[in-house]
Amino acid sequence: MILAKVVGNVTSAVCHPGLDGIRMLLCEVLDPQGEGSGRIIGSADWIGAGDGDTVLINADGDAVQTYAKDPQAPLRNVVMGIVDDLEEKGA
Amino acid sequence: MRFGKVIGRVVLGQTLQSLAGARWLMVKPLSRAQFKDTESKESSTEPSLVVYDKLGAGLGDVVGFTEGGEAMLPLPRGTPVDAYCALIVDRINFFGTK
Repeated sequence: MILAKVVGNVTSAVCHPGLDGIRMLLCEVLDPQGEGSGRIIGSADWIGAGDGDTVLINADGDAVQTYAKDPQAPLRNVVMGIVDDLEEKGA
Repeated sequence: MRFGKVIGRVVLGQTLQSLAGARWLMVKPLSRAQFKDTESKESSTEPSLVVYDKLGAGLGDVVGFTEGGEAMLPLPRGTPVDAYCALIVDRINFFGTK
């Protein structure tokens, strides 16, 4: 699971049927300092995360297909939750 | 899922039986600047890769592709594909600052 910041979304008319109607967010993966790393990934979202939200992303398939209701949906990332508070005590 | 721009096509002469007739795209991942403006010349340092395509993406299109095990979910079991073009992007709404 990774932490990322929502930086946008994409719309698409032509997609795999398993992705039809799914909200696809653009999320910038955070580095250990909590800053954007520049690496931007797409993640399916069913909870309504918005721009600027820090989200927890599950980055290992399987669960996504259940939510997408299509065992063949080529998806990997799903937003698990929106981060309210991030407590860090250096390593 | 990552996003990239189609920069070319790959045609295979001899292939595994299960991949006969497949379309392959050369895709260059987008840099952060290119998410803001897809015409930006500031390209990413990530290497380009070959993506299996069934949607009919053309040169210059921005596509979203799934990598890893999930890439072969839409294909018959056991098809060796590790990057699958899952969507053709119509529009990117990018709000990231910095």
